[in-house]
Amino acid sequence: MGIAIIGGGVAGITAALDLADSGFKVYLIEKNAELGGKMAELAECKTGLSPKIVEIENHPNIELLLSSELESLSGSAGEFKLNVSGNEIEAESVVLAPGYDVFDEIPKSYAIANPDVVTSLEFEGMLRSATASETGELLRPSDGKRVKKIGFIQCIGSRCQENEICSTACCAYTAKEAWEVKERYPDMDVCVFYMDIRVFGKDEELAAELKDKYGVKYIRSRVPEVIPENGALSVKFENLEKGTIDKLDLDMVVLAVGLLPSKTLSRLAEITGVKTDKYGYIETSITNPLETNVEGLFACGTATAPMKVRESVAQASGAALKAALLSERTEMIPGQEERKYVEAGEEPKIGVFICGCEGEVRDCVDIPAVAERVSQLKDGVFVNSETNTMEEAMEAIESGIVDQGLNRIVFAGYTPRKYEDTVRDRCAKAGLNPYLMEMVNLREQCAWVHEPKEATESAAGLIAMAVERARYLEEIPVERYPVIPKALVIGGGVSGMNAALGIADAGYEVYLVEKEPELGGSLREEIGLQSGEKSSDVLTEFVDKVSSNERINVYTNAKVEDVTGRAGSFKAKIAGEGANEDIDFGACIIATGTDESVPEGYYGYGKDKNVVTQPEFGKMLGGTLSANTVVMIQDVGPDGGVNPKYGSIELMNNVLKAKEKNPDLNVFVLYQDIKTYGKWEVLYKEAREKGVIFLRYDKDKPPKYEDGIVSVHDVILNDEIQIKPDLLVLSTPAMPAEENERLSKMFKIPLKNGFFLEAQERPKMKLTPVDTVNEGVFICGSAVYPALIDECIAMSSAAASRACVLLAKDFLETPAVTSVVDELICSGCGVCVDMCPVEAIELTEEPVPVVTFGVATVIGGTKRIAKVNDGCMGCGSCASYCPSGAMSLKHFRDKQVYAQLDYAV
Amino acid sequence: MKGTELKQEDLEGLFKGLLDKKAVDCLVLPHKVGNNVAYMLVKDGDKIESPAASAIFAPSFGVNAANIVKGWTIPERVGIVAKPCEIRAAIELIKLKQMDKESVLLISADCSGAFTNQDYADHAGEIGDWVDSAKINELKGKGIAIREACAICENRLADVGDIIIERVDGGKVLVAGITDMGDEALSSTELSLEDKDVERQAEKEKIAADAKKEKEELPKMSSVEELEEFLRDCIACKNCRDMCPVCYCKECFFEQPLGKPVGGDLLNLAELRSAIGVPTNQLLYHLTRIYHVCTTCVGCGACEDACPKDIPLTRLYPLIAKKVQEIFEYVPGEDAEEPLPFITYEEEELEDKLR
Amino acid sequence: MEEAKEGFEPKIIGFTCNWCTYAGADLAGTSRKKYPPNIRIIRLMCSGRLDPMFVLKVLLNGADGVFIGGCHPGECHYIKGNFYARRRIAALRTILKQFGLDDRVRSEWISASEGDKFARVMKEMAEDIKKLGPNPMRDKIL
Ligand SMILES: Cc1cc2nc3c(=O)[nH]c(=O)nc-3n(C[C@H](O)[C@H](O)[C@H](O)COP(=O)(O)OP(=O)(O)OC[C@H]3O[C@@H](n4cnc5c(N)ncnc54)[C@H](O)[C@@H]3O)c2cc1C
Ligand code: SF4
Ligand code: SF4
Ligand code: SF4
Ligand code: SF4
Ligand code: FES
Repeated sequence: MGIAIIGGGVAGITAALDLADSGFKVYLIEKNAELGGKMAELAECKTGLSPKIVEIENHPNIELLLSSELESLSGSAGEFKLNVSGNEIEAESVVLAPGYDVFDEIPKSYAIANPDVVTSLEFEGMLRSATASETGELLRPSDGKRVKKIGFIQCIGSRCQENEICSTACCAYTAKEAWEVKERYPDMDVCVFYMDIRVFGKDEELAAELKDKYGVKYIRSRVPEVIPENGALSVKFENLEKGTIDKLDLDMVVLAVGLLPSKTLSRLAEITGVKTDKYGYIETSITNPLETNVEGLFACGTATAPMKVRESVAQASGAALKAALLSERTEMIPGQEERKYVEAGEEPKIGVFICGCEGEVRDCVDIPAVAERVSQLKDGVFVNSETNTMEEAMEAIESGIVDQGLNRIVFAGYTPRKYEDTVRDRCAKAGLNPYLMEMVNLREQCAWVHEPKEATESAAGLIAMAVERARYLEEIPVERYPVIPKALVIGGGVSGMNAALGIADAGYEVYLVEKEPELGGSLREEIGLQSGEKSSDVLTEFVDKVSSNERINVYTNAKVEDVTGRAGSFKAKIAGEGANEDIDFGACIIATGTDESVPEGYYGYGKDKNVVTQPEFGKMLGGTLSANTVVMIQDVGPDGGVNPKYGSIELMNNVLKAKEKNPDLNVFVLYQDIKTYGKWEVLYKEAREKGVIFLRYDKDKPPKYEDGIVSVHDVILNDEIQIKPDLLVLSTPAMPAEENERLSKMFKIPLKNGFFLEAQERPKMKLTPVDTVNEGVFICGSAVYPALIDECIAMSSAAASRACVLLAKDFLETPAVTSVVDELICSGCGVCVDMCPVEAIELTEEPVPVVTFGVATVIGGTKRIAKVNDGCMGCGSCASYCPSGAMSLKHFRDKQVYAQLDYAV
Repeated sequence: MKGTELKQEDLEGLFKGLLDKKAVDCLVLPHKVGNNVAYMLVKDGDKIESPAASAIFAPSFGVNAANIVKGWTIPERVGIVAKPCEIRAAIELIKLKQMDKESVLLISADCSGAFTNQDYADHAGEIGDWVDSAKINELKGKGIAIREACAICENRLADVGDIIIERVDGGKVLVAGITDMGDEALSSTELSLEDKDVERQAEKEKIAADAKKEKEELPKMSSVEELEEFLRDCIACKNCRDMCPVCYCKECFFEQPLGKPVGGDLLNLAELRSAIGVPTNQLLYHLTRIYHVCTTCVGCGACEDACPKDIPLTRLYPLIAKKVQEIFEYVPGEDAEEPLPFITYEEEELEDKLR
Repeated sequence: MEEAKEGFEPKIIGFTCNWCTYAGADLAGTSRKKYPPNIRIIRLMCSGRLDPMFVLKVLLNGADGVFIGGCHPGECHYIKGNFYARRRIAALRTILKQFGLDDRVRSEWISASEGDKFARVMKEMAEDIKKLGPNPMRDKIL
């Protein structure tokens, strides 16, 4: 059987790949004719997503059903029967990822009929076509004039009557759009109308940068109306800083529209019996964020709540794992087949394969002319220029290798960034070492960017360079090593425990290491959760499951030391009380959570017993509350932490509970931004309805607390307000776990503000939220960014899923493109050692006998030589330093690059 | 700093003491050979000739002493008495692990600026054992000039290494340890040491200012054609490399097939470009070598002295290297613990130098 | 002389890292952003693999310009590669400046999402180098 995934957006794609890569049969069902969902409409995201789409299209384990919809579902977990546009499918489990639709009932008052007022999604399209246009300018739709002043209005269709919740993603995507505009058109006036900026981490930095560096005007306001007036758009707004009604004239207005549940969701719910909540999203719980009420049906992404790509992707991976647990693995895992390579031989026999790329290249580049020139090259090369698709080209290459004995392949056509693995794999299949193949990017670098004549010239030049390089390519032995089917999980909080359970349920052994005497992490603090549950109930449930699971070995009071190895085959030591064990494992998950910050010295905390932290206040709510007036201050406390995602929500939760206990209680909340994102917005609304008073203060004028009196400058009243509270409650930042620094060094994963950095932040694609730069090591939970429990659980399921994809493999290949030292030439200077970003080079010392002439004592000298170990990632920094060229990077050796350089001019 | 003042003629005693007390196992020391000055490696203190000072301070440059001890990776300790540029080169070599820090005791002595070995030997009588700036000018008038490398050298006062030997008035020297190793070595010789002020800031600034002025006056190249012309006579013998203390490769790139194509490789290259100059890669060799030594070049001028074709290489190597060192705010040979510029970085820097 | 510059099409060699700038160039392609055809790109895994000797060599071979592209500082796929590269390039250009060749070498940090920046830089470079005229080393017997 297999697993059915409904929805081919980024969440569906992610879940499909995780499952297919670990050997499950996947049916991916998409109602549109193309994959990609909403993300494909976003200017920047499309390129990030397209390699994944290519992967899906070529994946042997995925059956793609485009333009198809689920019509009925019967059976139960383990034996569902689906009718998909007439096709019968059997599946053991189903993942629902139908995504969202944007808010489209935009009130007339925003002049949406005016062509210069566009939604943010339409604006993405405009940006894309502006980029592609000749001048690159952003032109006003109404009259084609250059846009000089542009405004973004946030929260359109969110936090309003029609949709009372916050759409979570708009603040961040607006910031991103504003940034793109400013990067391309630095002179453009950009302003953003907003109520609160609900962004965290990197987005928070971006928003600050926009204000400070790019000069984007962020105006805290409510906008009731956009009025088209003599060729301009006049935005009328209530200035929440000054309490005035103002107007601003702009050339263009972008409405940052909110997210709503997909329109297909209600029908899906009907067909499947899945329950939805009062906002129309699939109902899940905070401890089971991926499970629906129907066993065997899982949900992920924006079908469960509005969220950003990063969170959707995490949920998708997590849901994939849950679905996998109910299913039988029936398929081969790609790349696990045995390969036999023929001896390539000394004498290069070069074959150049020029592909038309479905006409994309053929229509622009004069391929026959190029082929003619290539065949004139020195020493004669075999040229094939007949193929027009990837598949045709691959067949031609295979036959070239097998039938004609070609031993160097130059493939000119598509970009290597997306297709190199595929082409290498096909060469390998035909018995040629995959590193004897070189690609030329005719599509992206010639056909799509130059006029035909120039593109043809450029193509011929690039191929000539590649042919020369190909002459010097060397076989690189492809070695395999067995994957150790065990995982290490560091940190025994909810995230760590949930990850461990996920992996153990999938059938692998787990080492769970916790440095404290007990499992539980932050949850050991008695917290009344936003769902009404108590943290202790949640905790007990997890701890019971973990301790009764025989595949999980729990180590408390213990730490991990001396990590070596690489994805699939790590070694480490567990050291601690009563434990001193060497372990090996194939994957690792880091879930070290956060440390609590103590606002010692802030507002008299520590001296004045009426000053408490938010969690302390939460605990007080368990007893009786004697206070009449409570003042709460957000964003207080020591540097070095970050603003946790649960900050405002925890506050609202406590406020509401306090009001319940004592309805006459006066509560004042002094804040900068209230970040009750998503469905939690309703808590904020409820608090206001219950009479809680929210006063905004300016960062530069923080509240004061003297002689029991809080004084604050309220920006709206523009006046000083004094309150005499019985209790002052401080919301503090979350601090990174103390251990992170050490773990970061040991696992070679960079930190940002003390928290682990996901691999996605590197080339700016948000598609791998739990993967790190160190393959095989995953991160999750508050160790990445302090988050709510449901997010921690979804993320840790995702980390478990990614780990299982790895553990499902029998073998992995050692990285081939690594550095090597010529020991005869190395002079042992050790500079390369210092330069290597992952400490993969050591300087070995050998005693050398001294050749002496009749002297009695033989003096021993030291010979130092660099050695590259397993950790090498192949960046080549060492090779570029080494003056004598003793160090070289395989596949990018000096002579290989020189060959290109000699033919470049 | 702990140090002591000695009469110049007591220096022999100091060196002998270092050997006798096993502060070092051997000593590289300049000595007079006829009219000339050369280095010797002394094991037996009795072989130290007097007056040692006259050889140590003699304004003559033959070879960079650091080049002699390159590859000293044995536990036995060698002491090196040499000019500041040589000691600086040694410190760079320690960073490059071409000698072990613990195995070398570096002793720098004040330098007045030096003549080439040949000039010195030819005019030893006139030049004497030490020259001051008046004397340098006087000799210049007679057509006997100090080396260009020395004229533009900003760091000729002893201030690097483990021990420094400063000339002080009254025919005396001030000897002081400036590292723990230096202090220990000096203490072992039973000299009585006391706190001494060894800074000579004003003098250093003046020297630097004069050197900068000299540098301004050197002819400069502004195009690659001029470089071609400058190197017209180069026969690619690579003596400049061999005598350079900081060119440290076991086998230079330009001795390997890519750097020095021979036979079929040579013919291939000629075929590719229709014609090539031979010996090959002359320009590439020099440009590459500038890059390879750009952070470590101490400006000693050994390359220029070594050139059989009298190419004024000081105008190529030290002059350009200094420009690179300025952007990294790096002075080679200051401190063995300071990282080489190419292995460190600041997260935000140099953006104005990239485009 | 001026005339020679008129019809002069510079040859520019580009070294880009695989993860950011090469991807940026791909994006320029996918978004059909046209730019002058003077560039020949050589893909390295990281700007850290850029040995300044490559640049020296290709300039002596007669290339009119050299472009070096990498991830933005702090975003290198290999964490620090471009920090080292930046130092080397700065040193290299300081050396080249002495021979008036520095203006022929330009490096830029271009991320995978900056297709238009890639195209813009290509345009600017082609124009700048046209103004500089051919590399004096072109067609020399070296
Ligand atoms: C004050 C406060 C109030 C909160 N309120 C709410 C709320 O109302 N609602 C909500 O949803 N969420 C709330 N949260 C968030 C929620 O508790 C956390 O997001 C969640 O518990 C994080 O789980 P985690 O597993 O990622 O981290 P943690 O629970 O912190 O677990 C990490 C574990 O790893 C261990 N560890 C650390 N380093 C190592 C190491 N080197 N080796 C071995 N073990 C290690 C730690 O000791 C800890 O046990 C709150 C959090 C705090 C701090
Ligand atoms: S490989 Fe090169 S850089 Fe590394 S130690 Fe040897 S000589 Fe030095
Ligand atoms: S390049 Fe010349 S001046 Fe510089 S250290 Fe070497 S020999 Fe001395
Ligand atoms: S020129 Fe370069 S490669 Fe040759 S010895 Fe000097 S540093 Fe080494
Ligand atoms: S020593 Fe002189 S001739 Fe020999 S390689 Fe150096 S510059 Fe050329
Ligand atoms: S990978 Fe792009 S600069 Fe290192």
